[in-house]
Amino acid sequence: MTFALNPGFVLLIAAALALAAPKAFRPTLMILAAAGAAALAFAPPFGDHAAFRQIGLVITPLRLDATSQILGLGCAIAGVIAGLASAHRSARLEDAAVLTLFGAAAVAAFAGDMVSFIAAASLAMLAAGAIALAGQSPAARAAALRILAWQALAGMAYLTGLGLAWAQGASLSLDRVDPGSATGVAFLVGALIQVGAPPAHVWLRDALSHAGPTGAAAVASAGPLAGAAALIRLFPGEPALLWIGAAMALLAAPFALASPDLRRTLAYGLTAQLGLVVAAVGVGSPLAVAAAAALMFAASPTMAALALLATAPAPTTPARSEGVPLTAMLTVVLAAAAAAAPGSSGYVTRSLLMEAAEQSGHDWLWYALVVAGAATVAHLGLKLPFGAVFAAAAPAARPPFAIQQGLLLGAFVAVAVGLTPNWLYAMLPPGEVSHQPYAPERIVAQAQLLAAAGAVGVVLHLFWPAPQGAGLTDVDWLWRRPGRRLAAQMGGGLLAAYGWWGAALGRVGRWAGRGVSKLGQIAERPDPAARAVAAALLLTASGCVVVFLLKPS
Amino acid sequence: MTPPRSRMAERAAAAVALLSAAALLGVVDIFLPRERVGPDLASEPGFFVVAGAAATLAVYGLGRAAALLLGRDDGEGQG
Repeated sequence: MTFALNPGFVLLIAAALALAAPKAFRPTLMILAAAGAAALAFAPPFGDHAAFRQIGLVITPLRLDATSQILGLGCAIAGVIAGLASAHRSARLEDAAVLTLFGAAAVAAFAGDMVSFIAAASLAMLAAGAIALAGQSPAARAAALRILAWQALAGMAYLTGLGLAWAQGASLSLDRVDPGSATGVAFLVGALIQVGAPPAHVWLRDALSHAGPTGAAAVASAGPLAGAAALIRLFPGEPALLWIGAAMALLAAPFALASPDLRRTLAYGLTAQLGLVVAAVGVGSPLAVAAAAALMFAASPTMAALALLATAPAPTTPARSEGVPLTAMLTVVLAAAAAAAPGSSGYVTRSLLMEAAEQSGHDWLWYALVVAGAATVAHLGLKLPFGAVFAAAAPAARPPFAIQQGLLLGAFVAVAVGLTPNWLYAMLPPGEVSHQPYAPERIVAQAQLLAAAGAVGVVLHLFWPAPQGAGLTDVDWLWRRPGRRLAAQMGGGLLAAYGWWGAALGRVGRWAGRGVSKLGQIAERPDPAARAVAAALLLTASGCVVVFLLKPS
Repeated sequence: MTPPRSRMAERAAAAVALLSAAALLGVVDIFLPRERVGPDLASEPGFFVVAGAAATLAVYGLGRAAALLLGRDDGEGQG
C-alpha cells in the first residue's frame, strides 16, 4: 500500500509543534518539516489520492502531478532556506506563521479539488497577515489588516466560484475552467489577487515592508504560490493573462528602481518576476506552461534568499564588504540568478519562456519580456544587492551566520539548477521539455543584454542616484488617504442621519404618548357623555369584527 | 546623495568594463551564424546591446518620473 499525504500537512503539523517547541529546536523542526514535505512529493505515484465524499462533494486532498511536484519542491527548498535563517532570532509566533504559510501554500499546490484549495489558499493569506505583524508597529498592524482585507476579497471570489459551480452541478475538481463563465471569472479574480496582480500587488509590498527576514523569505516564496498554482491549473491560454503578466513585469520595474528602501524594491521586483509567470500561463502552450512552473520553481529559493538580504538586520558596527567575501560572493550569485545570467536557474527558466513567447507569435510579448529582462538587471541584479551589501553602511554587509546559511543554500540551488537544467526539464509539466538553453546564440544574446543593461544601470546609478527619503505613492494611497477620509465623512453622515432618525422617532413617540394620556384622562373622567361615546365606539368596533368574521368568503 | 570620489571611480570602472564586455559580445555576435532567437528584428547584430541599454535607460527615466510625480511621505514606514 502506498503512503499518500498532502506534503503541506507535514508543515502545518510542524507549525502547531513550533508553538510548543523550545527555541533551539524550532529551526531544526522547520528544516525537517520542509525536507519531509519534499520527500512526500515523490512518495506516491502520480494521480489523485485519499479522495473522500463529504456532504455530496468529492474532496481530493492530494493530486500529485508534474505541476504540483515541481511547485511543491520549490516551496520546500524555500522552506529549508527560511528554516536555516530562522536560527538568528527567537520568535515563536513568527516561526509558527512561517510554517503555516509554507504548509498552506503547499497544500494548495497539491490540492485536487476546489474546496481543499480554497481552505488552504485562505489559510496562506491569513498566515501572511500574521507575518506582517512581526513589525510590531502601528503601521505593521495597519498593513496586516489590509492584507486580511485582500484575503477576504480573494476568499469571497473563490467561494462565489465554488458556489456557482456547485449550484450548476459542475465538477469541483481543480481542472481547467472556462474563463468566460461566472465560476471562471470568480476564480480568476481570486487567483490574480493572490499572485499579486495590480492593484492587489500592494499586499505583497505591505507584507514584505514589515516582516522579519524569515517571514519575508516565506512571503516572497510561498505567498503567491497558491495563486500561481490556480492560474497554471485553471487558466492556461487565457489571453487576458498575457496583458496582465506583461503589465506586472513592466510597470513594477520603475517602482522598484524609484523606491527609496530595499524592502519595497524587493516587493516590486517580486511582482515583476511573478508577471513572467502570469504571462507564461497566458501563452498557454505546453512549453509555456512548463515555463510557468519552472519560473515559479526557480523564483522560490532565489526570492527567499534575496528577501533575507533585503531585510537582514543592520550590523551593530560599520562594516565594508571587503571583510565578508562569502556574503559578497553569495550576493553576486543570487543577483546573477535574479537577472537571468547564463549558468543560473533564472537563465535556464527564462530561456524557456522566451522560446515559448517566440513560438506563440506574440512578437510584442517577446519584446516586452526583453525590456523586462533588462529592467530586472537594474533592480534585482544591481540596486538590491548594492544597497543591501556593497553600499557604505549596508544593512546586510555582515549578516548573522544563520542568514548566511540561507543565502548559501539559495545560491547553491541557483547554480545547481542553472548548470544542470536537464533534470528540471524532465520534471516539468505537461511532459518532458526539449530545450537547449546553452546554444551559443542564446548565451551571446543574453550576455549582451546583461552587459548593456548592467553598464547603463551602473552609469545611471553613478550620475543619477535615486532620491532618498520620500516614499513612493502607489495605488493603495487611494484607499489609505482619500478613501479613509471619504469613509470617515460617510460615517459622519450616517451618524448624523441616525441621530435625526432617533430624534424624529422620539418626537413621534412624545406626540403619541400625549394622545394616549389624553384618552386615559377621558376614560377616567366620570362623565356619562364620554362613557356613552366610548361604549358606542366599542360596540361599533365589535360589530365590524363580527361582520368581518361572518361574511361569506 | 553624491557618492564619495573613490566609490565613483569604482563604479565608473565597473561601467566601462561592462560596456566593453557588451561591445565585445556585439562583435562576436556579428561573426556567429544567424540563428533565430526571437522575432526578425532580434536577429540583427547588436540588437540585444541596443535593446538592453535603451530599456534600462527608459525604465530608469520612468522611475525618476514616478519619483517626481508620486514621491511623498505616504505614511507607511517599514518594519
